[in-house]
Amino acid sequence: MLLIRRIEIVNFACFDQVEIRPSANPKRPLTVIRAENGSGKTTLLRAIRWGMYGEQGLPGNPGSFSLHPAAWQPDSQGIETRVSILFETDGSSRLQLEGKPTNIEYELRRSVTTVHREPSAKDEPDFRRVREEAQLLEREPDGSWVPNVHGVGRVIEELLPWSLRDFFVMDADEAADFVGGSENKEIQRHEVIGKTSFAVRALLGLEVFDSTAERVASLRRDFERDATKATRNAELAEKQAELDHVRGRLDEIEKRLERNRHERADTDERLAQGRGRLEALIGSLGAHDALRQRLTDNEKHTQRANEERRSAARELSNDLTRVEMLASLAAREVRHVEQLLQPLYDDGSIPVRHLPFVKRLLETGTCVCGQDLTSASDHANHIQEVIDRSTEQKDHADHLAEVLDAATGLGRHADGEEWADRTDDHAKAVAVLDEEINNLTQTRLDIDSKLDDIDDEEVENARGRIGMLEQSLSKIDREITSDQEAREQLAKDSNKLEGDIRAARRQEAQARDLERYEETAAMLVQVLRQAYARIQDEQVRELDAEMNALFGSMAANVFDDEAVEDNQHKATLRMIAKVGLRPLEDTSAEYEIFADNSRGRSMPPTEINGASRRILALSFVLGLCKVSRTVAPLVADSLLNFTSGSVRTNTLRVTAETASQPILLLTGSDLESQNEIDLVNRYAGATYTLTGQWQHVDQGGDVVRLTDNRQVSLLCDCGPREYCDVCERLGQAQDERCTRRQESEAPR
Amino acid sequence: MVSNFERILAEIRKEAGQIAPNYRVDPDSVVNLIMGIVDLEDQHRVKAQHGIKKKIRQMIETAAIQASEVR
Repeated sequence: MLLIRRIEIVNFACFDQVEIRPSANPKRPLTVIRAENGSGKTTLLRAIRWGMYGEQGLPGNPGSFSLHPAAWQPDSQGIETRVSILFETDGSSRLQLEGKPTNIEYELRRSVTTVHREPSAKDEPDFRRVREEAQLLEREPDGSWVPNVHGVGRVIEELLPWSLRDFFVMDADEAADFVGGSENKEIQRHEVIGKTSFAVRALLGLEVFDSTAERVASLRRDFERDATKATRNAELAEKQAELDHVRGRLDEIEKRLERNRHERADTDERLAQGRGRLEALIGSLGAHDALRQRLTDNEKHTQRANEERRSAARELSNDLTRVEMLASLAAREVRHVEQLLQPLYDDGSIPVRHLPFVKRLLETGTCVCGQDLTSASDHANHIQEVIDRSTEQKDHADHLAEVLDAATGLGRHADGEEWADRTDDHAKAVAVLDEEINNLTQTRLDIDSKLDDIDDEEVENARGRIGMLEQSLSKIDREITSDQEAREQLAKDSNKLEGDIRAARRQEAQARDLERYEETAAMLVQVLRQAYARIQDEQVRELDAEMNALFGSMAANVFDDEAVEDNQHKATLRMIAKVGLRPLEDTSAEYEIFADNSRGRSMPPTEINGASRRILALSFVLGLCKVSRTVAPLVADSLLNFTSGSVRTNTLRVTAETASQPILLLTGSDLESQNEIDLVNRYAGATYTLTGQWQHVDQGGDVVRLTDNRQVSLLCDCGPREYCDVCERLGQAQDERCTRRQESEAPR
Repeated sequence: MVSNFERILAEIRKEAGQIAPNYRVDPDSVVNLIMGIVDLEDQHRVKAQHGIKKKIRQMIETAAIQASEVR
């Protein structure tokens, strides 16, 4: 529910400041604003639309419409235009349908300042709008006003959607779009269908109903898909079987490990026993081995000592042999040399020790005997000959002396003077080696004696048993290691499978949940679809019938008006036998308004005249509001245009009786008949008269008094048959049907 | 301004009363759930609601869980 309580317009085009308080009396819901053509009816409608919807409520290109007063000269300071709409809702919401309604008052304030601007092109406006503001205030229980948290756009869009503006703030020409356009404007059929269908679906709630059903159906498909996916992924039995298999293998390995551990323990014990027995036999296996090792080492040492001894003895023997042989040779040579040297020493030649002296005498040239030795005298020659012979004998003697020295040396070796040491060394080495060999031999004897005490066969047997046990132990250890590795891997596999199974179980549970969700969604879709279908069928049928009834009411007694119809070539009201709304074939959500003639033929809009179109459109608007229980204002301009006589009266009556809050902008001619006046008197809770001051008689109009020099429209409270200083027009004073209001209201 | 919700509610009640028992669900719960979803959808129509699908999904899930608990 929405009812307008007050509309205030300031500095909007031809309005200086006007305030309208529409009737909110359910018994007298009609508000009539009488205004002659050119008085500002359309501007008033635009002001209301701008107040509600802002820029998009204005015709033409954005920003191009002149909101500011016509008399205002653009300046830098600018002028503020303001529209304020006070309205009331019953506070109902989708979730509080049965709650106690709590009326909420809102005040929608929209303002904008227009300032001067230099146009850059010839056709550009010389103004621009700045600081446009929209504010939605909500009245608190204590009477204070606070901003609404949802904001203007959302609330207005919810209460009076822009798409349905023709329903609530109706220019009759535009409302005729529902039936293919007005006389001057024809629109395409698909546009008509689109506009009509949207209105039906919006007001009946089918749109939101349908989108809800679609969304829930979509979610149902999601649930179904997810459930299928979860179920498919589960494969619980397969994984469980695999886990059982792994667990079986684990058990086997555990058992084998246990068995091997026991066997290992047994083998260890047997090994210990074997070693104990062996140790008992040989003292210790280590001692036996040590003895064996020592014996081996002893043999090696003995062998080495023998070799060294043989080598030393051989060397000693060789040395002795060589010395003996050289000594015998040297003794013979010594004797021979002595024999050679003796004659030399016995010769009468110049003794060797005198030879250098004699040579110097020969060089000085004088002999000791006084003879001259310089010339080749016989004496000199004799001296020289003696010297040569002596020299030769000396060389020979020297050689022999060297031989003698060597032979003497050999003789000394032979006498053991120098070879003795070396021979002693060799002999000592041989003796040391002999002693070592003796020791080694003794050690070997000891070892052999000890080893002889040990029963080799029994030791070997024990060793063999120990070896077998050790091999067995090694094998068991390998098996244990292998089994431990296998157990580790299987444990990992088992853990993974258990995880998979848990996940699968979760998925299974999730799948069950999803199936429940899907089932719930399916149920919701079923409820929604069936309810939707019933509403669609029944309410569209109701609307269809309601439209026909309303149309019939408005077109009643139309026969009398036939003469005034201008468009005789087009279908007149009396030719229309039935009107209504029908769904289009092959679609579930599109509707079209139709008008059938008496023969049941559907007449296209182009065959219907203007009055018929308006009434048809109005029957749709009123019928839809009634069927959908929409309680909202109907601000309508030019609603009765093209109508006359009983149709006009009927239309006014039906509108006043059917609409929740009709606010009609009518001309004087619309209210010419007493029938309309009676209806106004009966149904109107508020009346106003709008007067354009530019329609003053001085300007060629019929407004009697110029109460405001500006080019403005003034609003007064006068009813259709009243006049005052503000709205008096020529002839009214003489018209007996009209009454002057003595207490003229100040212009609004 | 959708004022037809009384009629919608009546129809949903009617259908829920017939259908919900087949699913062993309380009809009033179904009506409340549907009207809650319709209300969200209507708000979304006026002004896009972030995450509306998720919200509705959660509403359905919660309702399904509650219904299963009641059973």
